[in-house]
Amino acid sequence: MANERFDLVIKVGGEGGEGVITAGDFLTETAARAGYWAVNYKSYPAEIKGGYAQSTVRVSSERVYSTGDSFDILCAFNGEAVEKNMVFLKRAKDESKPKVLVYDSTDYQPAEELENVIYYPVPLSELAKDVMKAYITKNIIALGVLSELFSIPEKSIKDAIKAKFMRKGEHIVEMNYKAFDLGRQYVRENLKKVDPYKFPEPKEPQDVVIMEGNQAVAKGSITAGVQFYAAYPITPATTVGNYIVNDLIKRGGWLYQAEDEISSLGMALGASFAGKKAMTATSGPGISLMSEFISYAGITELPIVIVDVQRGGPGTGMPTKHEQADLFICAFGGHGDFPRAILAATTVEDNFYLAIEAFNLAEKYQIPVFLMTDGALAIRSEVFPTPKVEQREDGKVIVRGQIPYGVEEIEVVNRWIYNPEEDKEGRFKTSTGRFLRYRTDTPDGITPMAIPGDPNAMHAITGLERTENTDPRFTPEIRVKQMNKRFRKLQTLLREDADRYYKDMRIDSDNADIAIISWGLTASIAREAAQRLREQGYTVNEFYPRLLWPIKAEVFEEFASKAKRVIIPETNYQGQFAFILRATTNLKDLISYVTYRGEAFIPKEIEDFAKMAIEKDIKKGWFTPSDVYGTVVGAI
Amino acid sequence: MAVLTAKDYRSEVEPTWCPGCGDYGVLNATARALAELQKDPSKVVAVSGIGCSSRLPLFLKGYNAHTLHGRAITFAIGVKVARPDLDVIVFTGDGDMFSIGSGHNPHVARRNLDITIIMMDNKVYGLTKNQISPTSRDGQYGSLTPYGNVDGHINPIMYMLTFGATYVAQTYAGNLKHMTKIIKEAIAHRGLSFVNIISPCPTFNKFDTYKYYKDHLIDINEDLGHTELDNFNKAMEMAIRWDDNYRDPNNTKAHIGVYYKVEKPTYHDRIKEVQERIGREEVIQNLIDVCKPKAI
Repeated sequence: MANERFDLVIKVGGEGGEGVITAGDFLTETAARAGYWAVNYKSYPAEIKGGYAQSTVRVSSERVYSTGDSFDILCAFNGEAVEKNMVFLKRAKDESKPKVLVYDSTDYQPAEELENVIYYPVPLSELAKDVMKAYITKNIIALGVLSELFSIPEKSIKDAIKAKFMRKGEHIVEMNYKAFDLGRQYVRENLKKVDPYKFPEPKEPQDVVIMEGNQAVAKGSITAGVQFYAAYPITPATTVGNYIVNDLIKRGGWLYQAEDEISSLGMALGASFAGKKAMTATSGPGISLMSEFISYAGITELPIVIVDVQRGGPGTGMPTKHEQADLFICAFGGHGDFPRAILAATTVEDNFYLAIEAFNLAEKYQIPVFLMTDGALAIRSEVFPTPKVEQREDGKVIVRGQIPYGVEEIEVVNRWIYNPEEDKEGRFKTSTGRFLRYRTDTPDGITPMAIPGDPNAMHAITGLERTENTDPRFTPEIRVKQMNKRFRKLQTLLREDADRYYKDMRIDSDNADIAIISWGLTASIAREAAQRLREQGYTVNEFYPRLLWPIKAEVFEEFASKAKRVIIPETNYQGQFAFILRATTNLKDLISYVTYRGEAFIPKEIEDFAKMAIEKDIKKGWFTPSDVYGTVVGAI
Repeated sequence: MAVLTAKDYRSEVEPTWCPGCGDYGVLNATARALAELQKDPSKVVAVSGIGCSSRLPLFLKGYNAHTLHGRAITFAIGVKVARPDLDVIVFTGDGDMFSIGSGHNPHVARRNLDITIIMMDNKVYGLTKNQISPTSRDGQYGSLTPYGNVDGHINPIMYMLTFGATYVAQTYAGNLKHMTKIIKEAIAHRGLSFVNIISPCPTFNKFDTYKYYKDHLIDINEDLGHTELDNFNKAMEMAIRWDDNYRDPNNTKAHIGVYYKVEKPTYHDRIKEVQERIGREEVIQNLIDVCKPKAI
């Protein structure tokens, strides 16, 4: 029993402002306190106040990376929450496990009894209003109900409640404990448990943190040593700024709220030129506005990190919805040819480590680096092992932990600053003593920067093509040498660093039934689908690259050669990553499997499509879940 | 350290402006002002956008940045916030600052960043060969306005006063002495200083010429007795008066002099106050560990 896998998905849904999201957060923290792992996918209403909100918490004895196909337990704070989830409740009849519906019975009764659904009516609102005399305790009463029904460890959940409310005073903690106990008592006195779901005994808690996606970006960037953050509010990227602002000030930096996204990137580049690590975070529309400065960063070779928390596009699109459709603009946006790199996070945990890596690549290669994440990752929270940061006396910063893409540690990289002591022979000086900021013949294409205040290396930067000592000039010879210098940096990156981001690869067979390549949030879902396929006897190879640009073609080509077919699930219409791979490798027969409905795949959709591809011997093409099921259905 | 002269502030790059361009004078005056202030060239950051005037930082010694059209102010803010010890000067033009880049002006001014903005106002787009700008006079001919300008103009002085600049002055590229004095004051001023320099374009602007200004300049401080420099209303009155020069150029004078000068806390003063209030955290791990479930 002790070794049996525990895996439970609890969804809490209701009116925004009723504590739905908070209840989900409590369940997540409770899992961590009880020694289990948790992923919590939150969905806020688009409205400023009110509207439907929900929180889906998956608690497991193993690390899990998605919230699964559907919930086991739905705790509905109102009738709307039941109706919104009716499609899933109705599917219970075809599923092996029952679904449980705990609902607020104060003003609502389900119209029909669904097959394989277990109903627990609890008058949550009535208890809150009439017994507690405090409507705001409704969500805590609900937690008491869930705790009693499903044996969610009382101490862990009470500790989570206390941790949240102790700042507000002992009497607030007591009131919430009372509400919690009321929920438990109601269940004992009024309900008979008939479902199979039971939380196991709590274990010794592990050394973990709980972070939201945007928070992990913020914490990673702080670890990397960011000193300047330019912010312009945009859903769903805004909270990166919310989360970073205090830490940044404590580290001697500053967050500047810009007047628009063009300014954000301009300011961040100014700070970078002045010698500080700088970043901005935005979403698709902001990337569009920043494009000119992205190109400028490319030619002036200024290190910069741009976080794209993607949302549904195009235009204003679907600001609160999940999509991965900015890969083209991050890879190709901005005029002219210039080197850049793109990292993409598959989980909240990735966000933390890849934020550090993004700064490392930007500082080492003096290029714009994108960290791509998305709206679903932004507000999802995860329990993951605490990253360990060692700050050495010599100023070095080393980050260790269970880095999810398979590297041992990350050493924080700082840019190469010109030091005349290291340049006795004057390699980076003209005969008249001028600084050669852009000397063209270094083997790796990288040249030292200099920061204001150093009298030895004064220079001007310009967006014009320039000589090695930064004078504007565009003869064919200068142009070709400078362009080659800039792009040589990308070749160096492919040679020296790309493999770091290609380690999350699993080869079951040299002739696997199917291979999956995926990126971003979709990768964390594909991973679960792959495991299920494997359990059904298929051979599955998997590859979840964190570096999406530039592309090391031979790695993808070799990976693809070991399977009968390659599917690339992603949430955009055009199959953007598949498109890039077709363009940059010799792989032409790739299968794009896409959805663009504003919600992520569920594992089952990838699993079922993979089986269809194997059975029908599909080798290439473009497919959506409609090709599998014949209908368009929202998954989450 | 040896005493630096104006030429110590000039780079090896030779200007590419047309003969007679007012911007040569601005370059000379800037170098002189920096020499009079004995600024360390490596700690002066000149930032510009795009346009004839925006080439100027390339001709100065130091850590300078020729950025994007209309975006010099944004870049300059990043430099100044990151490194408050540096003197940051924006060189811009009427099109760069008041057309494509106009969205940044209110925000740099209201925050009172300690940055100097020097705008070379030639009332025309020169680099793209003669189009009207936001400061062009009514009826001015350009390649896109062969029928004469019907757009109306803006008054940069009034705008920058309204936006909250704490030093606002106007000078003239043909008067090296006055220009040097004003630029020097503007750089020394703590807070956002804005200097509009009437800088004739002999190639494309056939109205705002040296000949015209020879007879039309008036010093608001000396000739008009505008000496109450911290009086915002009086500064606005002067700015409105100058506006008449647009409407009836042959009968009214063009102003030079200081409109407004007032000491207020700078953006950086306020940053420092916040930083001191919030305090420092040297250990990165502590900032991560706050995400652990709180000990009970």
